Amino acid sequence: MARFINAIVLLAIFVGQASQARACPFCESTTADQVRAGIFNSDFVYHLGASFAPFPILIAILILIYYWPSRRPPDLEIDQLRRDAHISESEHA
Amino acid sequence: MNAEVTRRPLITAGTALGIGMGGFVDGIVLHQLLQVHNMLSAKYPTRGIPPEQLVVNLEINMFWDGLFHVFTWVMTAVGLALLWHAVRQRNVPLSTQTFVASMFLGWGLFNLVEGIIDHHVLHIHHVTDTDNHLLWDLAFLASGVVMIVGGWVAIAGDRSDASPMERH
Repeated sequence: MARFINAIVLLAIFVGQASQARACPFCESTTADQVRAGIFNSDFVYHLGASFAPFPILIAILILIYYWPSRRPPDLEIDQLRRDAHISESEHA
Repeated sequence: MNAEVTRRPLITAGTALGIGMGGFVDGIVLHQLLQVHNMLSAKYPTRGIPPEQLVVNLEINMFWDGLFHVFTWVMTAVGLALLWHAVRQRNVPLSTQTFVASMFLGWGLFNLVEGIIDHHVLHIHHVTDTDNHLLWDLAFLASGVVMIVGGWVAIAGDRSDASPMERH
């Protein structure tokens, strides 16, 4: 347990001192401020919609594939028709 | 009474997985390995700009690429759920050809729909944000059409006898 805590403390120190990595959208630096300004601005909703736009169409296509009526009779119906025809031929013979 | 035999659940599952995994191929190969095709790279370019601005633009694009990956992850999860739904139905033949072809159909649909909307309608990015991006954008669409047609033909031509009733 002590080793685990030591490892966490060491990791926290390394991460805390990695100032060159402080350019993420949620860090505190001039670059991070610019990144935030580029993401969370008046165009955020538009960018969100644009990123998301293809997916409702793709989901609609999936729904169409699932529910689109079949053009040919189901295989079991074909089998049943064949069996019926066979029985009918046997009766005639 | 026997339920109607249908491949629809398997085709839908494969298509959803193809959309999701096609999105991951796009995100991993194009966005990350080749570092092109980033989500907002037409607005926040990552070529031909000073290094200070490049860092900012790359991180902005990285954020939106991450969001794009969220959607592809969701599509993959939906595909897994649909596949689970399909394999639990005794009237769904589990044909490998149909399943693999459906995944290519989904991948092709992803390339075609994403390409038309993002590259040609919204212009939020292109495959490469260079002067000759149209050529690459059209190649991207063509790859989608080829996979859709190939997948569709392979699904329609599947005559394998994967009888659902023989499953345990």
